[in-house]
Amino acid sequence: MILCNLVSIAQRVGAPRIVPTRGIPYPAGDPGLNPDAERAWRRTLVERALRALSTPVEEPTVFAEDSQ
Amino acid sequence: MTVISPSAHAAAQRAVALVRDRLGGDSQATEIPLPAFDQVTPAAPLEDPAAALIALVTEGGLVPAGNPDRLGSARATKWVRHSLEGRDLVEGEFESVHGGFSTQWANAEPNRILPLDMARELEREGAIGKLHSEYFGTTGNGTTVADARRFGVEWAAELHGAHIQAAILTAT
Repeated sequence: MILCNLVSIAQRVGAPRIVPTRGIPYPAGDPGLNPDAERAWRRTLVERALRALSTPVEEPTVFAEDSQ
Repeated sequence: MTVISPSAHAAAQRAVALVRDRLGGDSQATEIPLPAFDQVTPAAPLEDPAAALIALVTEGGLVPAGNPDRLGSARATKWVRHSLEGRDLVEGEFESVHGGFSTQWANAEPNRILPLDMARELEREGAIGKLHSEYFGTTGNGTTVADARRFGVEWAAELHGAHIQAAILTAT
């Protein structure tokens, strides 16, 4: 699965499982947050990644929310 | 889709021809057809991440400080692998050499490129069976499709060989 900011490109090249992130230079972070909040965001991204990896997909699929 | 040859007509004629095609309902008419990419068959889902061996990989140019392999900042023609055993991604020990964006945020906190700290936390809590002990990385910046395909094929072979069931790839 892929964690990336440029979701439309990932879809176009056929990446099956996509988790959107907040900026090109920091795919697993968000420097606008304080350190604790940023780690919590990074944990959320990894948790979404695990959920994406556990979900059957037939085509490029975006996992943007925790409730999916 | 109409593909107009740029060499056949003067620019003004080409522009008018393209407008006519578009107005005529051919919404895809173009002088520059976009490349077609491989069809990727999605892998089967993990049955249970808590029982899986999972690898972290990145095209964010992450390297040990000093870039011992001389990984390129653009148009990379190789990838690198480095052990994460007993190491944390901390400022001064790892850095990004990616030439396509400012690396100030990556260098100050390399976990922003490879989410090792939180992946390890989830491993400790049992949500991830086991994290692979090394990461693979390259620089995805002006990389040719041919090189990127080769990296992917080589990574897949390495991961299969190490009995890894899934990979989390960060892309910048």
